[in-house]
Amino acid sequence: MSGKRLTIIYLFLLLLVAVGHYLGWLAAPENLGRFFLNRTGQSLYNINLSLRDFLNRWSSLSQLSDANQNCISRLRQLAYNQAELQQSREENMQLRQQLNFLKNRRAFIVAEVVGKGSEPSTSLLIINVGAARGVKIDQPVIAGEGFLIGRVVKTEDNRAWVRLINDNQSKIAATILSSRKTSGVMIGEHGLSIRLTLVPQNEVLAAEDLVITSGLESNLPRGLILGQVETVAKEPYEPFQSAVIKPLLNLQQLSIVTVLTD
Amino acid sequence: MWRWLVLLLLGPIIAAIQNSLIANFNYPFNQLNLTLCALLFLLFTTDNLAATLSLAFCAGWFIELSTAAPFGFYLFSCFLAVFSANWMCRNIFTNRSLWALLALGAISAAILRLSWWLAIMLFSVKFVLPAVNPRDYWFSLLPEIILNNLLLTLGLILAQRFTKKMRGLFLIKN
Repeated sequence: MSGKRLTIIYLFLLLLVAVGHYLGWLAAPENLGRFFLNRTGQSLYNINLSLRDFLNRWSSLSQLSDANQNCISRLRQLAYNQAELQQSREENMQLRQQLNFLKNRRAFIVAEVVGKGSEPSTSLLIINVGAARGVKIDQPVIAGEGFLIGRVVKTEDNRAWVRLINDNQSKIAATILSSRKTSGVMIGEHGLSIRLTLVPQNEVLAAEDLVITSGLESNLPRGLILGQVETVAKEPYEPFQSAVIKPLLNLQQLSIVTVLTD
Repeated sequence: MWRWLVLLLLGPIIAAIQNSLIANFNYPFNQLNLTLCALLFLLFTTDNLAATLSLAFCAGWFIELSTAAPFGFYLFSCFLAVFSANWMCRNIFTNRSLWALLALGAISAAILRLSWWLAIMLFSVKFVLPAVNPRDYWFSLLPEIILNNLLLTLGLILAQRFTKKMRGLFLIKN
């Protein structure tokens, strides 16, 4: 068949199809064609989406690496935030406990522990409030719900040093909560333990008795908790008996304390 | 007879792949004109204008069903592209080499675009014209030619591997 003849046939068919289309004669085959295209088109479109996903996965490898780095740094940041949150929660708990105790107090100053004394064989804390806020030497410092942790031994304008109750120079007049008559002196032992001494032999000391301040010293009110009796040392030939006291707070992990100023 | 049946079945398949698969790829990959590649390959390898025009008519008719342009524009453009390609095959690119096929692919793509563009402009199809930016339209011809030619090259290499009739003919100077 010659090209000329084919051209004429093609153009004739084209004209026929176009006229048939615009006059609606070919509606049935056209609908059939559209049905076929829709059905196959859907499957092909899904293939297209799968292909695009596949290609995007490979083309975005570098982006994936960046995203991974971002995730890692974000994870670190979140871990840091979580640690901060945990710390805040603990501080909040401590503050609530102290607030419960301080409801009936007239004056107090809340302070943060900013360091520890560097002097050897001493147990000193450095707090971030000082004489400028009214902190004075010998004022008691508490933590939690009325647990005495020490007394102020030195002040600067904006800092103060607190001698902890386990410091070997610490001496506090103490008593047993169960009896008003039992009294003694609580002394620190090189930052390692606390001992209640000078308790008369006729007084009854028992394990798990609560030891509080006796109120015999100036600036040191009665009723601040010092610790709990752990073991009692009572020798018949000694004039006084003694007891090892277990602090109810970990004195090495203090972060917020309160200075009682009244 | 079975050859014509294959062509009739091939038409809608090519049209469906063109419209639903390739057209949904991102630019520039959506510029591949599978229909034109199939037509040129058929014409180039079989030298059968009747079969090529039949495939053009069949595939073109299915593509017409899913284009926004007025019915007949694509069929007409296909006819012009195939007819001009046939003329070039017979008079210019006669050695059936890869270079001939590549040149044929580039020129035919340009003719197809030009004829479609002229039809749009002549009939002032207003709902198509605003969507067709002339600069983008002609600029996207380059990726179309590159992609079409890559596909044609691949097809020719495969065809040459399976049959010796596809080898190009060159005049050798003694």
